[in-house]
Amino acid sequence: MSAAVIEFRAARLGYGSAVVLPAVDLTVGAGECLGIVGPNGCGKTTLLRAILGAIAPQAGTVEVRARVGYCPQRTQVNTVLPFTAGDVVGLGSLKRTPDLPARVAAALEACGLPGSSERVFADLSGGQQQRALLARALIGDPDLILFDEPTRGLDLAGEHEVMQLVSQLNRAGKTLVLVSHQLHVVARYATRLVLIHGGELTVGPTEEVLSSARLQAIYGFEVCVAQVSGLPVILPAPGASA
Amino acid sequence: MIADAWSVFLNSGEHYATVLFIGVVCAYLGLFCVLRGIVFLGVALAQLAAAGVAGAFVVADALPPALGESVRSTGASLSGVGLAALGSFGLAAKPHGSRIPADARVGLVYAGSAALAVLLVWRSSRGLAELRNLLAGDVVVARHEDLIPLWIGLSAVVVVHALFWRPFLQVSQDPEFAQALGLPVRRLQWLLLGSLAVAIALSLRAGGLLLVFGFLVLPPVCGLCLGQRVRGVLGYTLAAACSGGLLGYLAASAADLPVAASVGTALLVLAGAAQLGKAHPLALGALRAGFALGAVCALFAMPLVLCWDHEPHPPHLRGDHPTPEEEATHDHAPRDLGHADPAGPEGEARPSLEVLLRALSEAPDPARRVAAVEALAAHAAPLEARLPGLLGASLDDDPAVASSATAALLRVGASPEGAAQLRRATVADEALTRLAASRALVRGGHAEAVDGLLALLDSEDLPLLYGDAVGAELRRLPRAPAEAASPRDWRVWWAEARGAIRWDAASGSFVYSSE
Repeated sequence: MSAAVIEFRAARLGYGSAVVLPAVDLTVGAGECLGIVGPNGCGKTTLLRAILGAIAPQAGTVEVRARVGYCPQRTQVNTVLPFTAGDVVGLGSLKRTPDLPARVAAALEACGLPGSSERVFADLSGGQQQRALLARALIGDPDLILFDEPTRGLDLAGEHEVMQLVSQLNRAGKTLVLVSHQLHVVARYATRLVLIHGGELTVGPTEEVLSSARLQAIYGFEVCVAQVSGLPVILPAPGASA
Repeated sequence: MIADAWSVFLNSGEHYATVLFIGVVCAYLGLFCVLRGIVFLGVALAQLAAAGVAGAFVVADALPPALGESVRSTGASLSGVGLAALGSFGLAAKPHGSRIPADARVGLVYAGSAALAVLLVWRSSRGLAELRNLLAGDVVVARHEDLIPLWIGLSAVVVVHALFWRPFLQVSQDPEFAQALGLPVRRLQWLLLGSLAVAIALSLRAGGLLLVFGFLVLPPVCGLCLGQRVRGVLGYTLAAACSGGLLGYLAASAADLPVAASVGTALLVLAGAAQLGKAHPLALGALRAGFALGAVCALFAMPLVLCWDHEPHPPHLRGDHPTPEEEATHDHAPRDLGHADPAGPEGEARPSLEVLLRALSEAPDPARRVAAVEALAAHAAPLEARLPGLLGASLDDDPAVASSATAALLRVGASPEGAAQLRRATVADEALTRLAASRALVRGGHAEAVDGLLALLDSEDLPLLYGDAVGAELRRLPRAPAEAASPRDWRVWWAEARGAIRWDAASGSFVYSSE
């Protein structure tokens, strides 16, 4: 594995006195695309927040050795005021420098939104909003980008647009951490997977982790994992009941 | 009427500037409240600050007068700010595992603090007057020294926001992303809410809940209707605050209305117009131009009124205490206020007549009542509207207030028109009005008014408390009986003395002609 960008060592993660993940040992190498999956409330967001530095480990250590960019789900951005796409992307920079407008335009263009700087963020389509948030994450030129449910609420076209960009970034050498409920998305794009269940992490290559038996044990019904045109498809088996 | 209103407005000086300053700062902060979805939190903080102020009033009542007065002025502001700041921190914290939603906690604080504020001022010796002051405010009779902490506090808030505008926006728009950027999100949020608490609590002391609520909520509504970008929303929000402040203040000056309610109504009208006009391109354009013009006028009016107001305020309005020489000048160099030019150089700070009359009867602080007397004496309103207030104040328990009002009545009585109005008042239904008017005329050299005082000696409707006041006034006349005398004795004496007594203008007193 290449140089570690993220390293959890016996990290106990939680909030206050509540423990969500009792012992996390995980290393993410440079250039990896790590997917984090699991049922609701399993601790995906807790793991992400620990990488972001939003929560400190209750025990053990968490080390992040890279500039971090963060791309949340689009619904997290407050759109009460009519922020433009340029405003949103510009606020991704800590300071307002003279070259910020040019950097904003470049980031938007890199994310397939050329000339959208003056468009109101709330008026963009779901896919465009998510790409604008990716542009915001990119404006600080990060080495590591964390994605939280990047395709939630997007139609097929939106999902495709966003994931193509994610894929391009990974090919360009960025380290990516992808948190999602959509197993087929993660299965297709992640090079390695973390499956969280019952406070425990199962880490390994995608095809190993996303086995039919393991998913059935987690979700409580039969899950069909198949390949269609070389791509993973994960669906409840016909007649499966929880 | 327009000329009068304009002259009143021109003489408003720092009070107008204060309303505008409160408006701009609260409207700007209101925008953050809207962005973060905490408008109700802002309102709850104001109510919490009101409870803090009310608590200080109750404490002040229990202390010796001198200490109590300082608690009532400075302590009230501090406790208001303190409680609002504590509330903002408490409400910003998200207790882990709490089943009570955030807006319910805000509602709890709002209802609790509102009830507490009412109960506390109820217990205060000046209960209702202070309750009304907290709700409606009396910025126009606020003294200069009361406004200084407000200006300093609001300036500090402006500086904090000038320095932290960008991080405040970042933590408000997407706190989790701000955290990823490495910003100290929690500390920035506390600073933002702390600045909100300080601005609200200080503005509340000077302007009352109504003015603060109005500026916090309504200008951002206008901004959201008229602006298409964040910069536009911010611009129109501030423009609405300025325009509403100007319109409200002008209306209050023209129609003798309370400033807070006038400004609130003006803002409501502007918000309604913005809401109705936003859907029609032509109306939207006209509204935008109107708001921008209103803001320009409001801002240009500020240096105008501040320069116009270069004439010194009455000493008590300035917060200084008069020197003995000033007092003497007050009493013995009457100015003809009965004929005062409404817009003339005599004119000084002129808040609305209603506010002044209310301050005279309800302001707990004697210095404020003195300031109200001075402002009333110089007010542009017709004398018949001002005279009852001055007559009432001349019988005030506080010697400084009574002396100031008596001096003003002397100036009134020095003009034929003023004397005629005072004479009419000597036959008023109210015994106290008759007493005050007769006394003012007698002190101004009108010997015939002694009959009015004599008539009061056996008047059944004169409160017992004032019975001695009539005798004391008569004893000021030369060769009056030194000992208590019956009404009949007084009449006998006056029948003999009437022909021998004359007014000596040089000494400003009656003399016996044989002297």
